[in-house]
Amino acid sequence: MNTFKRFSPLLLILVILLTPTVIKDNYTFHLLIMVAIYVVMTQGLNLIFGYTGFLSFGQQAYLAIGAYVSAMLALRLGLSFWVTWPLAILATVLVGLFIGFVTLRLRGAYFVIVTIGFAEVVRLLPMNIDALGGPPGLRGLPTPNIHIGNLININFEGTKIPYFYLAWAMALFAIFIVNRLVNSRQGRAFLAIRENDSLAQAVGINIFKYSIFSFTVSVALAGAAGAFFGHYVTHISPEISAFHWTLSMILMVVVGGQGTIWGPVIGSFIFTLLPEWLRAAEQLRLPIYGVLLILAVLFMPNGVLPWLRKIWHQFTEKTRKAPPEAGSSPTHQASS
Amino acid sequence: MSLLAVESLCMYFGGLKAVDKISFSVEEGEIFTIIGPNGAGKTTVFNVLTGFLKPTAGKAIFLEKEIQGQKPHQIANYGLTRTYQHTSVFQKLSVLDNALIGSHRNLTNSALDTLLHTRSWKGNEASAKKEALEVLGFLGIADHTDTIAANLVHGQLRLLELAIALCSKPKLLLLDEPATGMNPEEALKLMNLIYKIRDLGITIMLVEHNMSVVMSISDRVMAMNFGTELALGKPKEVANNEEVIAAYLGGGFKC
Ligand SMILES: Nc1ncnc2c1ncn2[C@@H]1O[C@H](COP(=O)(O)OP(=O)(O)OP(=O)(O)O)[C@@H](O)[C@H]1O
Ligand SMILES: [Mg+2]
Repeated sequence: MNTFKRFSPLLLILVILLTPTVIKDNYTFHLLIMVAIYVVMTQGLNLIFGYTGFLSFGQQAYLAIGAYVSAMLALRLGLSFWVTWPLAILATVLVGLFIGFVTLRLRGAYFVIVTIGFAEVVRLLPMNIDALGGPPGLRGLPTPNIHIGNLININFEGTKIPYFYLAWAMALFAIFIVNRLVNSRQGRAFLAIRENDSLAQAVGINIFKYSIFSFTVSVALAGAAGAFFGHYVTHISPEISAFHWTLSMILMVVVGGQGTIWGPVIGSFIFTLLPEWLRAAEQLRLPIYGVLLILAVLFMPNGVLPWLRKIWHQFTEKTRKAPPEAGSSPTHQASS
Repeated sequence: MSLLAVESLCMYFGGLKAVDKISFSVEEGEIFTIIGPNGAGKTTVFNVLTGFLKPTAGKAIFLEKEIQGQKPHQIANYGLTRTYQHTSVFQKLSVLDNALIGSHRNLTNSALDTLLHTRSWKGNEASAKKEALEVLGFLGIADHTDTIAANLVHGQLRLLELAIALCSKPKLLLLDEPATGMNPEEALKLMNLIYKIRDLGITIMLVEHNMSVVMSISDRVMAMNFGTELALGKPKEVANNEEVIAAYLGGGFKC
């Protein structure tokens, strides 16, 4: 188990690196890129929701802020994606800090209402401001081409493979950050806030500070994903601030397994690939999502990940019949 | 200088005087117990001292700092930790994680240390884990390190609460009816543990209703009724106090 754990990141990187040897068609690559973008977003939502216990209904706002800031900087100032991307994340962080500061003192309905209200404001801005492109949005965002002298030339036009690598590098980085955070005093502070905020305070945890911290990392990831998305499809419109983005994220986190690292990853795969099979029922997508969410909450409150783990354990026990070693406890919340 | 000095502390809820001009001090190394009937204001005193309520009037001085009205986490970081009358743990987390949350304020690694797994992160995590296991061992629940708190039986939960508080390394520990819901045998064990905790150099303020326990364990006792102080002194003195006896005969005191 331990050796498996140690080498699983390497294994994952290897699988990602080798994917283009197996998959050849652009459409599958597109789906896998979308999965990666959703992984980044859901790692963020999971941090504030799954680990810290605040359900943020307005994540789409930060997606939009990331996308628009990066797009505006690139189109108006002619800056490269590699400059606008970090700046867009920074802008999202600043907005997130402000919103967090105003809303996170209070829990529950107040937080939910303000996050929704703020997201609505963010949705209306690009619709009504011509400089932001109005309803049609902004076109012709530059691709993240890399030219370093004559040595390195990575062109993102006409092929999806560089995007695929970049998207998954970003996704792995998001997983890495969240995983490290939750297995530390900072992450345990998040969990303490989720589980019992007065006891958390009683042992000296500044719950306001740690809520803001979790929220800020969460929206930074949304901003990173949004900006990347813009430069991937090279065209953004106010659609990027639509609620369905957050609804999908919530679905992915809840059905995958909230408060676990790999749950949202599994959820991202399921709900990016599932609509492809539901193509025929395009109109029914949201109702189907709604029903799935209710079913998940009712019958799998911890998501599919614990369930998959159980099957895996039964499977491994059958195959080797050896008693499970100590320390491989599957129950440790923050592990895996 | 007393470890804690409370000066005419008042906590009013509208017209209700839950705590009314209470004064006392707690000396380093003692076990100081508050007794009194239901609704006397014992828990309210704890809530004010730990910053969960802002007092209407009065002062609380802990380690020469005025703490009244400060935030709970600030007060906890001065070394004043409490447990709750109603069982209060981190339900869905393992026993070890519960204890490690208690250690939070003693760990110094920054978020950057955490992300980079620096030496500071490693050292902090290792020593926190070691100390948490020691505390769990000391309390006799080390066998349940990986158990999810929600799966513990009541007596173990009460010990876990104590573990969380001890991991924060308080100088003054406020225990609100820690033996509630325990069987007599468990309660006796708990009282022995409280002695041992005091011997570790942690001063203890206790709310307890079992009078025989109170009499044997406490260095000093304060009796409260309707928010006011009835008597304060050695356990024997308080037990022989006329007003306290009257309150007993009135059936008010829990015993
Ligand atoms: N937050 C609050 N708001 C309003 N009234 C309160 C509040 N907290 C406590 N009270 C009231 O203050 C009085 C004292 O309550 P407190 O909980 O301190 O009593 P206690 O001595 O701990 O009693 P018990 O032995 O039942 O635990 C009670 O009448 C209670 O209803
Ligand atoms: Mg009480």
